[in-house]
Amino acid sequence: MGGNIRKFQFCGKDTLQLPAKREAFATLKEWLISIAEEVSLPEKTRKQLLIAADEIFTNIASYGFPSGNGTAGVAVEFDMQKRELVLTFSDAGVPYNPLEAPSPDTSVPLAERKTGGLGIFMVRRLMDSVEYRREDGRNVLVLKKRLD
Amino acid sequence: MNLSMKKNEDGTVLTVIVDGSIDTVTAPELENRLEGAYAGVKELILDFAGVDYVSSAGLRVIMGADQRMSGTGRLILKNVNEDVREVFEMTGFDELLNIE
Repeated sequence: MGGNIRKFQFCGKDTLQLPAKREAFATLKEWLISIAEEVSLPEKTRKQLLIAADEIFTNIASYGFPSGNGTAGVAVEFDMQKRELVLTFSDAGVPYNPLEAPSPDTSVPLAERKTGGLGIFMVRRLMDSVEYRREDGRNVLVLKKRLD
Repeated sequence: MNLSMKKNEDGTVLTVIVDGSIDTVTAPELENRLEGAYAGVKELILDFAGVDYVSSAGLRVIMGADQRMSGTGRLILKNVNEDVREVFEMTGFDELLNIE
C-alpha cells in the first residue's frame, strides 16, 4: 500500500532565487540538471528544458532591470500523476510579455535575419504551453512540458 | 563548454571542436575564441560531436560565424546530433547552414 511514494526524492516543488545576471544561468542550469536527474527526465526533455530556461532567464537578465540589480525567482514543479513539469519564472522587473514579441522570419537567409524573438520562438516550440501574467508588480511566466 | 582549435599547415582550414552546451554563458566565449582565429581562414569547421544543446545565444554566434565566412570562405558544421539538428530545423538554420 502506497509503496511508491518515496520513489523520487524530488516530487513536489522547489524554488531558487538568482541575481538577474546572465552568468547566473550557470547556477540555474546546475540546479535544473540535478532535478532532471532526480525525476529521471528523458535526455531530450532535459535539453529542451535547459534551452527554454536559458531563453527566459537571458531575457530577464538582459532587459528586466535596466537601472541596476534585480533578482529572478524560478520554481520547478513536477506533477507525477499528470507527468507534467511546470517551470515558473517571476521577476519584479520592467513589465514585459515575451509572448507579444514578433516571431522571426525563419525563411530569410541568416545573413539578412534579425535576431530578435528567436529565443521566445524556440521556447514556444519546445514547451507544451507558455503563459504570461503580470501579478502584484511582477512578471510571471509559466512554462509547461508534458513527459512521454 | 570546452573548445579545442587546430589549423591546417597553411592556416586556411580551422577546425573547432566544441564540447558541452552553447548557451547564454558559454556562447560569448565561443564568439571570442573564434574572433581571434579568423585571419586567413577560408574554411571554418565546427565539430559538434560533443555538443549537448544550443540555445539562441549559440545560434547567434553560429550566425555571426556564417556571416563572417560568407565573403571569403565557408562555414561547415560536422557531427551535429539529432537534438541540435532539431533546433536548427525549427529555426530554419538547417537550410541555411552547411551541415555535413
